[in-house]
Amino acid sequence: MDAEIVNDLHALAPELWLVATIVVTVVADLVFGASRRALLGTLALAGVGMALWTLLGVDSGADARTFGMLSLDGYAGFFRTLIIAGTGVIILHGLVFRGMEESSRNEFVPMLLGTALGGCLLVSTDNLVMLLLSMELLSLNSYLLAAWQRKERRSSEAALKYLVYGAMASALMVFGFSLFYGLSGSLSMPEVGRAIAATWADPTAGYASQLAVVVASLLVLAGFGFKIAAFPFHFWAPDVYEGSPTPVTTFLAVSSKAAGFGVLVRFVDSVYLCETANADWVARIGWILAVLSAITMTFGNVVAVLQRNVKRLLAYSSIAHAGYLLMGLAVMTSGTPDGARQGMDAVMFYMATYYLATLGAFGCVMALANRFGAEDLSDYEGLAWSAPWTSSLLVVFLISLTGLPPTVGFVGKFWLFDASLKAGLYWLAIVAALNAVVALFYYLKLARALFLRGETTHVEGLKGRGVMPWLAQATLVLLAFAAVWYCFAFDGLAEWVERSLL
Amino acid sequence: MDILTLITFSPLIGVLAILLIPSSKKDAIRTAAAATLLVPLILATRLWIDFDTAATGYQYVTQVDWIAALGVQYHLGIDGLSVPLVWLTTLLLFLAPFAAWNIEKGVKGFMLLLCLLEVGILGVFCSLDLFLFYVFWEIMLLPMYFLIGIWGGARREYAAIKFFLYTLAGSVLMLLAIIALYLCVRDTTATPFSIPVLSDLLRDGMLNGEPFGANLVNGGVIFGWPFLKWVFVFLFIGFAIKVPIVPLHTWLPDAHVEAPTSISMILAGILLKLGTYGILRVNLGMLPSIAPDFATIGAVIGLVSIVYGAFVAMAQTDFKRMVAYSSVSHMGYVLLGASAFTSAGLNGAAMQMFTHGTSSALLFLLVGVVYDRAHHREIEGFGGLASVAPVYTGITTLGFFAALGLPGMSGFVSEFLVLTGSWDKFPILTSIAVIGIVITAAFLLWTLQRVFLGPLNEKYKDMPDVNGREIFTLAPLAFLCILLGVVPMLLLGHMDATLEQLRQLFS
Repeated sequence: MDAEIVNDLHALAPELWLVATIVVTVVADLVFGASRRALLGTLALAGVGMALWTLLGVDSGADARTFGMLSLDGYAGFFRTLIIAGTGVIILHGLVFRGMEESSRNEFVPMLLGTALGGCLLVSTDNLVMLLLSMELLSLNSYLLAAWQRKERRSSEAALKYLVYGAMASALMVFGFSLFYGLSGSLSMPEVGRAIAATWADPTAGYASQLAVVVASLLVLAGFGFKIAAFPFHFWAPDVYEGSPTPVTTFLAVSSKAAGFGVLVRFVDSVYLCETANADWVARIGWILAVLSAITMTFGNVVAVLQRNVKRLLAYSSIAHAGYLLMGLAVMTSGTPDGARQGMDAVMFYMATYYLATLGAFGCVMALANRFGAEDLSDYEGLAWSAPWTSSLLVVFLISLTGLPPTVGFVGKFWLFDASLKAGLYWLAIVAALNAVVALFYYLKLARALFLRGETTHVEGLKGRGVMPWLAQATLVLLAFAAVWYCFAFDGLAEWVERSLL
Repeated sequence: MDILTLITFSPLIGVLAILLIPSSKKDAIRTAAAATLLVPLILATRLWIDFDTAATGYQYVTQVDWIAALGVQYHLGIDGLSVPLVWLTTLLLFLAPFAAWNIEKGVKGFMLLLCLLEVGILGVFCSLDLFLFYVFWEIMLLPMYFLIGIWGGARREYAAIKFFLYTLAGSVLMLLAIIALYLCVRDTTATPFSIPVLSDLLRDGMLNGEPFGANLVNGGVIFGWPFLKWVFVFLFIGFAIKVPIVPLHTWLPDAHVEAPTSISMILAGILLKLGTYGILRVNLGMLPSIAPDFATIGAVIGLVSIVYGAFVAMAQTDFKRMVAYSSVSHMGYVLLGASAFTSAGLNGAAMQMFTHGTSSALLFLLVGVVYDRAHHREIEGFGGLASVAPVYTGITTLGFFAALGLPGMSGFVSEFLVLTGSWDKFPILTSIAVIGIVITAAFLLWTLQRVFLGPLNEKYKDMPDVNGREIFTLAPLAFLCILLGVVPMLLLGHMDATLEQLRQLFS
């Protein structure tokens, strides 16, 4: 075989491991059926572990353009690590989760691995067609996963809604890409970026092509906005989050969002921020992103206050966090020197902190659902007296999501505020800071229900079940420990992010 | 290990110990908590004795690099401003488990949170790095939320969340100000969060020959105001909510009234001081070039708090609510004294922080005593208690006199100093502030009369007097009220050098 292809395959090893695991788990399910669930779970986790191991083993500094489509750089490595690790945790919790039909529990695993594969490819590509294909791989799996509880009406409704909105968003995005292709004659993001810059540099190009760029940009941003659930493309999120089985909701809130932001940041960086980019044009994009960011976080937080269903509440919270992450993108396009780097740094750091906390929070929500069947805030009342550890861990994660010390969420917010103040986006920093107060209110509604309300009697609840329930609990403790640890020792995390910048 | 780290984190030893005791052994948990919280008190007493009263600057400084990426340091140190508050914190936290001995619900959780709370509070008083300061500042919010929210009175949920939201709203603005300062100086110094370093750099509001913020976008001018003014205002709001000042005080009556006795005592005794401590340490100590611009505003706010707080306290029918509002009034003196930038004013402000810490804690404990017996706090619902509970009456009278500033009691010295100090700068405001003293005396004496004098309310003819445990908590505070009234130099001597240094920033 050609040495180059071997190298390429080597760089793709994590994805290959994922593919292999998908195949193995499907076959294992056919051979062993539902009787050997532990084996299936172990195989899946082993596969994810191998993918992660090869990923961290691959030297990310080297030139790693693969098949001309993927750019497996440190940046991609960062998001791939998040996505694969997150998938591992979700599989683990999914195997334990009570609210899923037994008959289809096994198929759930390869589906989830499929989304991880799509996400990994999505954050690695700088080619518009590859982007579209991997996004569809991610999305199609997501639509199916959202409908996983066949007998639950809400689940089917969620899936249908997700599918319809998703198809619409994809269509808009493809249309935008086609305009970009028409303008630049290329599908490579850097090429498109140079072509856009030329549109502004060349006065003879005229009004029409600039308009085409604006329209195309808006269409593409709409598509991305859907994936990351940013206002005003968030409508699907609350229903889908509520209707899907909780492991799937977790996946949507973490992996899917990470993949969405991973590709969006790369897109903005290579399409709008090339060396020859027109400053006015970039500033205009930056302005749009800043306004979107402010509206998204405020909307998400304010509406979250009104929610009674915990998953729905967390859905709005994840919308709000999309707003915070957009802040970083606004900094990237603010036009200040070094703004691109600062903003990217902030987005990626915040993503890591959000990841830890959201995975943990959903893990606790699943644990409480497993034991007490709790889903609404009213079901949570007084549970802290029966499940003090899970409840305390949940509070840690919620505090991290709010952005208070002693949790890593505080450092994430610090990074964002730092970046936006540096970029002169003072108003955005103030809006974001005050949003934290609103956020605290509804996050503490959970804590209030758990600790402050209800009877203080001890309820045993249902016993843990499924495959390796203790391992799922251990991940929660580990995540909580990481959330606190990285508040006091985030040097390593910051360095990793710094190394992984585009 | 250095003594400040030891003091700050010693309550954590108790956390581990308490976790290991089974929940059913309540007395063991209480004892373990009290024993744990005694450790910092002993260490802080040692610190108080060893403290070099003549030295200016920070003592017992520990400085270790912590987060290289930001230049954050683990930087602790104390001076005359913080050492009394550290000691007071350890004292009140030691008394808290005794005041909370009656609590039966979730004893373990209560004591654990108490230990965590102490770490947060002591951390704030000891940290000399703004990042660290902020981290500790926020760490204490969560235990407080649960302490009020789980063990509080009927409206505890509302009170707890209100407390948390108000404080957080202030502190996020504070965080922005801290980050903005950091952005300004990070190219100039390797430790951009260090309070001593920032104090030096900020002394005249110029950095490398340019006004502060010149290296920021738009030269740091935001809505026509120079950058440092915004920093000052944001920091001030963050601290002022904690003080609290009128009109940001509305969380206080709710939180103080709904909290269990021991927590009200800590709230009034220490948490309010965090706000004024921040104002003195950061707003005045770090931004002396801006503070004079806001002196008059600060004095007016202080005055409004004094007079308004006193009037509202007078209108209360609930004993505890009255004491809560009297705190608003008393904390106003701190702000008034601090705004004058005179030696007497600053000494008075710093001393008032301590004396109010003892007298208000005492009053809340006293309210708790009567509430435990009568299960209500309506001032009008008592009467003639002096005949059945003479000791209780005696201590309450003493507490009231300390609070209203009777000569010979601690409150008199600090309020006198504040008024003397502010007279030079704000004669009119000071004259109005005297009304506050009169009103305070009026409502306290009136309460005394309604609760303790007159014919005995038959319902309480069998009310037992204070018991040994209660006397154990009341006596140290009552003793301090008298002691500092007679020998104020015990306290002033420790603060003098530091406050003189602070005053010189404004001369």
